[in-house]
Amino acid sequence: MSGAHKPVVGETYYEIVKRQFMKNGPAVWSLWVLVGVFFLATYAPIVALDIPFTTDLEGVDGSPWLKSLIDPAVFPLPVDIFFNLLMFTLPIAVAVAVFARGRARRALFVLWAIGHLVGFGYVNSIKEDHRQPSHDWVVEVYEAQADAFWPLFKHGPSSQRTEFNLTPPLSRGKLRPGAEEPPKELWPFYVLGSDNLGNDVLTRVLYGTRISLTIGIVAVALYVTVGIFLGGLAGYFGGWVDDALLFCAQVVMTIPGLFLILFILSILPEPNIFHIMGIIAMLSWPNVMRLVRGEFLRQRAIDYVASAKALGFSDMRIMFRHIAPNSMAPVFVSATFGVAGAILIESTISFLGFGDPAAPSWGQLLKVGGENASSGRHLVWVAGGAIFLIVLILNLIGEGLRDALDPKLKK
Amino acid sequence: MWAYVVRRLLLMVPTLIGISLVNFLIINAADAPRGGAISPDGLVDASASVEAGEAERVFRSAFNLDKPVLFNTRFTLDDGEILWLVATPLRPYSTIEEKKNARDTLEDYGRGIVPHLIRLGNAADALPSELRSDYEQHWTKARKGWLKGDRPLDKNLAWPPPETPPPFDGQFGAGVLSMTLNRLYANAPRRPIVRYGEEMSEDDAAYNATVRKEQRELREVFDRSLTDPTGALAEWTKWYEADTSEWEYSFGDKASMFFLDTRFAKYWHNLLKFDLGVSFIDRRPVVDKIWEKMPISLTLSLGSLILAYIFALPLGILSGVTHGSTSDRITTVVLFALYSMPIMFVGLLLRDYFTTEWQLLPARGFRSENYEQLTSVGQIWDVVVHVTLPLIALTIGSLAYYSRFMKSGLLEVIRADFIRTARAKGLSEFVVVMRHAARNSLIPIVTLLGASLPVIIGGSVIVEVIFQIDGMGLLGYNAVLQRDYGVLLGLNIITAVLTMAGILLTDVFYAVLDPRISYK
Repeated sequence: MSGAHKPVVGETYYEIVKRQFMKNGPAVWSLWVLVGVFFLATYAPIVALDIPFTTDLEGVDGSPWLKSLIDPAVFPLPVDIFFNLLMFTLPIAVAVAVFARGRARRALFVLWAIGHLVGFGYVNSIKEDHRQPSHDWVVEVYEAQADAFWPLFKHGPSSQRTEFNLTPPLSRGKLRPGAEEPPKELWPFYVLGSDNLGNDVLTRVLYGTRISLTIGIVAVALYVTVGIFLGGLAGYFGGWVDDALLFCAQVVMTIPGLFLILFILSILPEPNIFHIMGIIAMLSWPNVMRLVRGEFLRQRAIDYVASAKALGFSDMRIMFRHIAPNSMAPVFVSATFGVAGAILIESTISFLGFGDPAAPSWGQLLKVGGENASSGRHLVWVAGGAIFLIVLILNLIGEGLRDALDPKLKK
Repeated sequence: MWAYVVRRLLLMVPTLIGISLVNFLIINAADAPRGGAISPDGLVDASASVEAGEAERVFRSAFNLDKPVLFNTRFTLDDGEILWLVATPLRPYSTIEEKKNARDTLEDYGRGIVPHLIRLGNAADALPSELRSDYEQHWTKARKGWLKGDRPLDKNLAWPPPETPPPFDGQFGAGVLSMTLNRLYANAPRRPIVRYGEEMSEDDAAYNATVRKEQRELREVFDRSLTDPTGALAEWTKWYEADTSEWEYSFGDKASMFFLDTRFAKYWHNLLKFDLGVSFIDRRPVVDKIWEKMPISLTLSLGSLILAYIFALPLGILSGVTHGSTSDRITTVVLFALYSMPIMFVGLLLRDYFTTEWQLLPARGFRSENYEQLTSVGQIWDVVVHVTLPLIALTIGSLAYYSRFMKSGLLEVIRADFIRTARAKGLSEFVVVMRHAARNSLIPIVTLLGASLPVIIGGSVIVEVIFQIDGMGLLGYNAVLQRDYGVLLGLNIITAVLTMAGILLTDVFYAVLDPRISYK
């Protein structure tokens, strides 16, 4: 190895891993793509929404766009409200990441996260209907000949134009035979075509990113927490605790997941995305648990655990303050792959038609594409491509992380 | 070796119990959305509420949901409790929730409360004092709930509710009597034994004949209860007193009822008999339904596994041998991309292009409609043509995964000392790779088989739905649409058993392959 790669004296574990990761081109690129996708999903209302930022339409004061962001008639899902708020708080987080260092950065991040969550909870509790259901800004602004400043694309996540269903990509709306012809200015243009209800596919994919990412991240966070806790218990205490937990893991891993998912979904009257997160978490915790258990078994034989015990620390403190931080490496790798897996499971559920009907998820688009054999082919390509892309970049990141953490490769 | 297999088989038993327990918990959760009278097509049908009620009763008894979960203490029920429940609709303060719960609870008690009902009916116009004080106690308890809840819409009702129940006058007595008579007719008649898809034994047929006759007689009694309630009650009493032995519990009866007449016990009993109930759609036994779909799904799963291994191993070896070259880089990238392809994406694309667009292969099904008329070679060809696309869709992911695994295994082994020795001996590179390196890196890939079985069995659901192949996956999919819980329960148990059998085979295979591993 050349001198440039010589380990720096005093380099922390985190810095070594980061240096190793940065050497992996595809992984780094994927990380940037992921960040880009995340930003796009967050700022989706700026890219595509059928509500103007400002307009001089009579009787409208302020920004209809701004008001709509917390309007349940436009954004019925809490996930969307969360991301809409994130549009305003994300720059703060970025500023913290760029300007703050060390302990201050961590403290500010925690503050930011708490602030965002509290704000989200508050908005969720006060949100009220600002828009009459029949209110259509595009038509109204046109009819009043008013000036308006619009988002990039004038399509909402669920602003249906059924007369233009299944339009191919890159074309003006394909009018359904027999439907009334709209004025030329109201004739929509679809970059990625439209779905069976005349929704713009690009918009739906954009907003679907929010749902997929949320389901992936929350489900994984959920089962990683459970897995660390149970794995810690099993590995630290051993004995019958270990046996019992391993047995439970064995049982869950033996059940063919999709059939169990079908069974659970059949008893849920109205599955929503939280149910789906819960189901994914329920089926996936054994992997993390077994990883953590293995690490704990290894770590508890090391001297620092014995000295912590000699100092009289409680079991819980030793487990989660001392051993757990040292056993996180494989969990991170597994969690990265886990997000990809969770997104796949969610889109499978939606594809089969058992997902949250209110959530415009990618799997649902794929389902519509599959139902409309040749006229819906663009849906298959776009939605399938979106799932493929996100799974691919997550897998690449996971690979990169695994290689970076692999002690065999450390040079 | 055999000892190992036997031990593994024994170890499967607790796992199977665990899996059944998970399914038991889900079935119990299915209890929750009760009363939403759902017709088979999933729509709420108010006009058919009687029928829907009956369908729900059948559903509940099919899964023994009308029994207590763990312990049955119904022999300790007293007249006071039954009176309170029976009289629920008579109380103006009862919430809809309370009325529904009371109805459901009484429904679940079934035939066991007949003696209570007979006694209550006969005592209705002059309730004994202990029943009255029981009723008053219940009232005091329920009143607290009413006070917390909303005020009834009827403004003529006194609010807050009075401390004591209204007097037990003739009106109340008549109400109790009519409720009791209704309840008797709902709970008392025995139900005929219903078996589908199998011959009914003579005993069963005779039993059913008597039951049906009794039902007709009781129906006549019930029809009189509107015009002549006391007369009807007298008839009921006569009917009851003719044979009361059924309701006289000995200590042994009570003990067996306590432990065995429960959801939990019945569930295991049925599982051990391998009786998974009947499908709610066509009334056929679930086991039969699944059994006839199994060959189709197994063809897909096993075919996919075999295909994956056939293609993955050479690819992985090739890619490992040429590690670092351009061709290896391209293979790696392509395999990685394939590994990230969702099955439904691949499946839909294949179906779209190969069937609709180019019309090369049949779009749906496992075999053609004229399958029976084909020659045996033609039959095989027919199936092959039908399963090609589904198999490709199902295989691509695991193929990529296996070959990546094979490659990394090979790379690890190829650095080992014994490979250097083999090369030093002057063996050709081909022999070194194929006989020394590849064979040693095969072992870990066999273990993947066990882990990928649940995924492949699950993946067949997607493929079967896309290509409309009438296997277990499509059966499960349709069962969800039709809320056919029996089929879903059966599928879960049977696929879990299949998976476990697969894992066992893998382990045995592993032991055969790797002599270093001893299974003492």
